[in-house]
Amino acid sequence: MLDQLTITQLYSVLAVLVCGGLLSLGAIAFRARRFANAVSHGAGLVAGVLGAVCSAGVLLSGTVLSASNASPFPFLAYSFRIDGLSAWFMLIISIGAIAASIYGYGYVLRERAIRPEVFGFFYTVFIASLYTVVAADNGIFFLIAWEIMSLTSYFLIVHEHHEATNVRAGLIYLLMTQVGTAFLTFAILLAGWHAGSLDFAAWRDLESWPSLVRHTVLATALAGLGLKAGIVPLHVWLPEAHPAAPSHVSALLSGVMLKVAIFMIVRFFFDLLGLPAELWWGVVILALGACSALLGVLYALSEHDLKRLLAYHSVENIGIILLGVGCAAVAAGAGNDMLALAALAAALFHSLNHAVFKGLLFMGAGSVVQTTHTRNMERYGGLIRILPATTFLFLLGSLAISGLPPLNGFASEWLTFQALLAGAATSTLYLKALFVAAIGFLAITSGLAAACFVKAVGTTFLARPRANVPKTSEKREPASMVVGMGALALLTVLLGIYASRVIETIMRGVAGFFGDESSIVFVREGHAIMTERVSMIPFSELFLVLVLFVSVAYLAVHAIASRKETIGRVWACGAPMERSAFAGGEERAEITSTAFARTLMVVFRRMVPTVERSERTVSEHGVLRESLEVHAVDVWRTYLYAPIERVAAFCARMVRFLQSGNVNLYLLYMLGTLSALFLFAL
Amino acid sequence: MELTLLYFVRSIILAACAPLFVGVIRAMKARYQGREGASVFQPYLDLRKLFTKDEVLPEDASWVFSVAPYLIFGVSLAVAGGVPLLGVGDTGVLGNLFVFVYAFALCAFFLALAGIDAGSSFGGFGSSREMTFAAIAEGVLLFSLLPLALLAGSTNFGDIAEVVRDASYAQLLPVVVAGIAYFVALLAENMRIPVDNPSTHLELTMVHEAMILEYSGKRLALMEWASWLKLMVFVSVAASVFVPWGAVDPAVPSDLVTLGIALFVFAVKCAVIAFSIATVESVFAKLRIFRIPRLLFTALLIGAVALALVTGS
Repeated sequence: MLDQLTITQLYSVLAVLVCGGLLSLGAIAFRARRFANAVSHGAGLVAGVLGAVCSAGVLLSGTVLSASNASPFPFLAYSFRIDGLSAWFMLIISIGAIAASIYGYGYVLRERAIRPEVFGFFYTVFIASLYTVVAADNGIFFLIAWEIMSLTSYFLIVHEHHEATNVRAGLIYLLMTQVGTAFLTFAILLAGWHAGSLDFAAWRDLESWPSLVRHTVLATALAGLGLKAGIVPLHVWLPEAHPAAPSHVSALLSGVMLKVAIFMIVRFFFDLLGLPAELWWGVVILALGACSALLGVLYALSEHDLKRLLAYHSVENIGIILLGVGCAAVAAGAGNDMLALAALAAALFHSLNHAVFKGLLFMGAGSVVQTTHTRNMERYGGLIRILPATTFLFLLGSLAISGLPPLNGFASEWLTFQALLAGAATSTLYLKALFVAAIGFLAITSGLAAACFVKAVGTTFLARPRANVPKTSEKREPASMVVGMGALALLTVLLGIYASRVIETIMRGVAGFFGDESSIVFVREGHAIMTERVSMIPFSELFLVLVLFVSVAYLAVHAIASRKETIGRVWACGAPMERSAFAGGEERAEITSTAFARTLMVVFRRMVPTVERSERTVSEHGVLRESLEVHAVDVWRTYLYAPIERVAAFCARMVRFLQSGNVNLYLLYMLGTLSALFLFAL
Repeated sequence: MELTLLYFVRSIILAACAPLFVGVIRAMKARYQGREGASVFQPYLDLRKLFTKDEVLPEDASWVFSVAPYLIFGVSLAVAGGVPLLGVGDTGVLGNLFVFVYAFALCAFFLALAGIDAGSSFGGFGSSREMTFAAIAEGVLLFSLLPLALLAGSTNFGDIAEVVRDASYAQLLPVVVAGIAYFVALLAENMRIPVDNPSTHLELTMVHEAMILEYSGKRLALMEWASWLKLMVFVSVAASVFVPWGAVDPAVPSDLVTLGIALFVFAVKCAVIAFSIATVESVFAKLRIFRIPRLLFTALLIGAVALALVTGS
């Protein structure tokens, strides 16, 4: 199957998805909920498997698939091109689609608010548009696919529109994504105008770009794509929109759609306009990445809504990915192709890893929310008894996202560290300072991420149940949800074990950007900093040794130590552990999410200002009840977006007189526009 | 295979010596305080007693609480396997500094989860504080080790030790500066004074002791032993990577005499470090909790200076 690699495979993926979507939509007429659910998620699954096979074929064989179909419209051609980079992101989309579809089948059945017929249509078309975006090889075709992706994702976000917050979140998303598309359209039209063609192939063939055009295109593209990727300060839509969607869609939005934006950033900076010749673009990307990573994780810490917390972690991980991209751009600008390749591989590997563990975590959050009917982490606790499978899988995802060995997050953060360290070892003084700062940001970020996930796992799943936790385990997650999450959890382990091989595959896939593939000196094992050649520590050995030592410790202790165990109550210095009037009728003896994060929030209050609201009820016998709320001040909303909003509202008021509501006047406008166009054409 | 055997040999040696090392520090602190103090072998007796005792598990705790001690002890043992004890040269994947830092982060992660899992507020607050310090201390630890890695061009402890041993005096300045940062990281990661007080359960600001408050019997023994082992590993890294003189070259066929001399030199280095830890713990008071991040950020900057010193040369 692999040797008969053709673009038809991509067509079949798209066809499966579109057919699934149409069938699902057609089911409205018959009110066939279960049929629509099965057919849309089934299409997602089949398309994901086909897409994975296709992309694996391209990656392993090193071929480039392409096809161009003429269209009746000027400038537009339905051209596809799948090279190593596209194939890698197709693989990410496929993995996301497979897991989300398996999980979604059971999830949607349990969710009364979702109409599977309509939902299924948007779901499949959304996945199809993701595939098209990474495979498109024509500017206009790409923009169309991009816009379909934005719109279908909007409809997925507002699908549960009975809740006002979801509609509002959708509106913010729609507004911002349209602004992003506008930037991107400008970039593509400008580049196309200069190159004389909107085919990406023509751009690649161009020997050199005038620096003004080049920088304008890169800047506008970075703004448009950065908005989609959620780079600070363009991230504000992300924590609103991602939690609003059904959980497996959140998994796709966070895990996959953000990566599509990363894909285009890499395309623009390393492929379409040639390699970056100047260092400062890399410096800009590095700085953006460092800020996104650190601020993203700090916002996540201050968050007590489980899905918003995960959304902020996406900002953080996009930052880590950008650290890799920026390092690659700096290295390419400095002419160190080997390092650029390693850094880019780090970014691409982390993209896949983030898709895997963030997908897993969002799905876990989905099963928690379905059980407890709230996203407020202060009302969870002790869910490990109700949702044992979700707990275990969520814990694995948390370990992976915190970058802990031997899982996949450790492998890609290790490679990012290596690339930055090699950058520090090879460059001049100022750049060295930059790389050292980036290493510091990455180190603190990964430490804070671990703290945040101790908070998330600890207060959600462990200790005593709180307000919204049901007492019985009847509400266990259905099998399909467990299988969907389990597949991703297995991948966090496998990608950690086979990291060296995966990294080598990525490097071979994108080596074409940096000249000849045969120039990579690839060493499988070693601890050397990658100044001259790529070296990998043996990740599989690490996994085996850790497992070996833990099992030996377990067996040895069980052989010698006393095995008698009794269960007892914890004594908390006389404070009541169970519900009592003293604690406001709730379980408050254990630590809450606010309390856990507060120490760190105080330490970092200069970077993330917080407001605290406390309330106490006092009687003559003393304090009856005391509560504390800590919230991060949304600096970006207040100081960046609110002024923009005021200016926009002012401009709108200024041109309001155009909108009289009189139809005749509108007809006159049309006539005027038409005549102006005719005059222009003459 | 040979490498795996070496891992086991090193980790068994370190695990066996860890209680003694803690006993020595305690004895030194007792002398500082004008007390007679317990025997240096007291920690071994404590472990023996705890391993034979029955256990009480909290009713709210889950399998995370039960599994955590084995996992933490096992991972700490594994990391101990990568420390270049008496010799220099590649010590395998466990001797990689990123593995060292993040494997201990894995331990801290489970330790904090176990603290929350017991369900009392003590454990939870201990966890919160542990993760607060660990988040920054991890950066300090990395920044104190990376200058050496840059100097050596390798991230393996054994390779670094070899380069540092053969380095000229001019190249040693960043090693000294990084050593200061490393010592702060050592105190913070092992919850010693001025970050936490390891010898009391009554301190209001207790961190490590709060998290393991609900453990008893063999699991408490494992937790204690793991924390001693962690201290021992940190000290051994200081002794064999920052001050690698006196280590044997594995390339040279080593007879028992050279090995014995290396062992003696290593023991002396450990004793000096034990003495400095005991001195710091006796001379300084525990810091207020919100002063600790300042100390850690200062150490982070010292590490950055060390990095600049390497790269600037």
